[in-house]
Amino acid sequence: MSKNAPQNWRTVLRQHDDVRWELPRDYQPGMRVPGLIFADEAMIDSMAGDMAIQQVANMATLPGIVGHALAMPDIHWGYGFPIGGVAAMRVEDGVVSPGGVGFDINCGVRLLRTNLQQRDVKSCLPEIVNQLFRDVPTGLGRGKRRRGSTTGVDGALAGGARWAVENGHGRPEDLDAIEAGGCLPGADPEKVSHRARQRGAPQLGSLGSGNHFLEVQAVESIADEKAAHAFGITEHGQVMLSIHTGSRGLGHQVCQEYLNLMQRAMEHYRISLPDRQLACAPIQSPEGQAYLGAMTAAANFAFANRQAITERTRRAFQHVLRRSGTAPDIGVVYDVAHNIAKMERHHVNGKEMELCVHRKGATRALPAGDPEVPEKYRAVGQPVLIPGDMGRYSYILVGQELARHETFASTCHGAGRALSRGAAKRKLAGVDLARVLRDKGIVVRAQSKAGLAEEASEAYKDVREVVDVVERSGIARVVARVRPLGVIKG
Amino acid sequence: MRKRTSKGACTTTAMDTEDKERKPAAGDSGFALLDHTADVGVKAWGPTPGAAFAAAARGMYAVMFGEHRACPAGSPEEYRIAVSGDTWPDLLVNWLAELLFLFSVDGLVAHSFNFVACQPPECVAMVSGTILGDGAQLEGGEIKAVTYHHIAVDVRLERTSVRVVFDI
Repeated sequence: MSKNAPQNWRTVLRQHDDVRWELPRDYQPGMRVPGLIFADEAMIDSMAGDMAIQQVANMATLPGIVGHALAMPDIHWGYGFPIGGVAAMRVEDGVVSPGGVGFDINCGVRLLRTNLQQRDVKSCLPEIVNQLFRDVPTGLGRGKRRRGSTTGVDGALAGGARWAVENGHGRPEDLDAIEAGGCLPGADPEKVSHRARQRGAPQLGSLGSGNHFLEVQAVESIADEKAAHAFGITEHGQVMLSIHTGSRGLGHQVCQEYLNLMQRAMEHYRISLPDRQLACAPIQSPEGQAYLGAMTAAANFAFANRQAITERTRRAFQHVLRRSGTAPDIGVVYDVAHNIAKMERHHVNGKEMELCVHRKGATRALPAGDPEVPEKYRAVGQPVLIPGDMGRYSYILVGQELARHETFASTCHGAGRALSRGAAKRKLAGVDLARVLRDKGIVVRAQSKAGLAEEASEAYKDVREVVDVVERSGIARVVARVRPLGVIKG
Repeated sequence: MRKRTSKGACTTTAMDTEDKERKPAAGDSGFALLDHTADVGVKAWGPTPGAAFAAAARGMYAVMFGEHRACPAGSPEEYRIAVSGDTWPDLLVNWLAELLFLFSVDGLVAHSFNFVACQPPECVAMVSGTILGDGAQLEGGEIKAVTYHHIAVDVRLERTSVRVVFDI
């Protein structure tokens, strides 16, 4: 059984340096590897009584796990795995767990660069945000529900962003700047149920709600000129765009169905774990292979979703700016998942092995020279996209060599919540958040005031603190910081 | 295992917005929303398992549409819902997940529940509800999934209470 979280994690953890804390194997029976948590002292103290570190211990009990059960500095409580958790399992005898990916399969971030300067959009920013809000469905979306009609879903499941480009949603060169070219190998669309397809069909090209967003941003500071130049980030004030969304209802349905399947599989394979939401199956089993095929297909659907949104974004900018005679050029900087399980090769104890790396609320961060980094970025490393909140800033980092050795080339994914949704709504009741943001020069459109309150800056931790820990640990380095100009939310 | 037939006009009233404040008593049914750092939970109760399951469903819609929102406008529909589950938690998760699926694909917001069976291994109910039109807005936001986190189903002679957390 899972233990209760101690009130002071310092009594349990062994501090290695100012940002590394080890959770020893003897903390809980059944832990196969120790945990390693990246956090500063204040973060550890803030987790008193919190179950997130307990979930790191639970994660460490999964069969086949190697190295450490890892937690990034934005760690917080999740289902089974903590958000910000990374676990790598041996392919030959390890397990795959839907709880290690999450309900929103391939939730991720895409960063776009433009040839525009802040001054080019200043006068028409409200119009741009309104046009984006019209053209990119949020919340329930505006697509007509069509039970039984799953047009387009098969192509997206198999081909991901490539399928989207082939069907008029973008440019071929977009694919060069997406993780795995926007199409992960190993997808098995036949393992995605008809029900999941039905949920996904009307949602392709939509943002959803919750913490998903589309932001118009401006470059605020550049810390690494060489990497920034490689990423096409050239000067302060350059207009950028961020898209944060995933596989929508299709991915949610895949996860829900396979969690049920895995719970039955655990009995069959006699796997006993401290939390039923760690439900898993051996990677090599029929259940494990089916989940991996379906999950990978859902991940491709998410790449197609972000690709379709990219094209809608381009058209919205063209529509608004054509009257001013400005010709916007919008290109993809990068697109990377932060909820995924992937087959990767890593060195463990000096031996190279094939692993199934689960990243749940964690971003892949490959260093310079890695063949999976797009050729145009290979000299500097993979862009790592870390959104903050709608009132402050977001970061662009670059992967470092140390991440390959310590974290299976992974780093953080965002800020993490400071207030519950209910607490945020109570705290900000009566506050005109749209006006508060407007006074800061940020134009926002959202489906609801309550939804806006839940996603306000006050509800989130400062992403700068998370990024600071990551940078001090040496697993990623800051390239640039952007601040929001316009936001659309579900 | 689902059958859908059209029915007459929507007769539902507003969701029971007093439930959150009311102290539950025997024979009573209702729900309350529970705070959770990243997500939202619902506790619900009723004199029978079916009544508690229906209250949990109303709580789920309250998460999506806001606690004080009346039944959304739309065309009326009736569905037969049948789900299975070896345990009470399985049955509750599968019941709510089915309603969430029907909301996603058809836009169904159920407001009236008539249970034929509600005990493991099956839950069968005739539900009446509203089919939302395109462009309907979620004041509270989408629910991604129904989770097993902190799930509880307590079935007693004249009172059943349940607790469930949704991934938002």
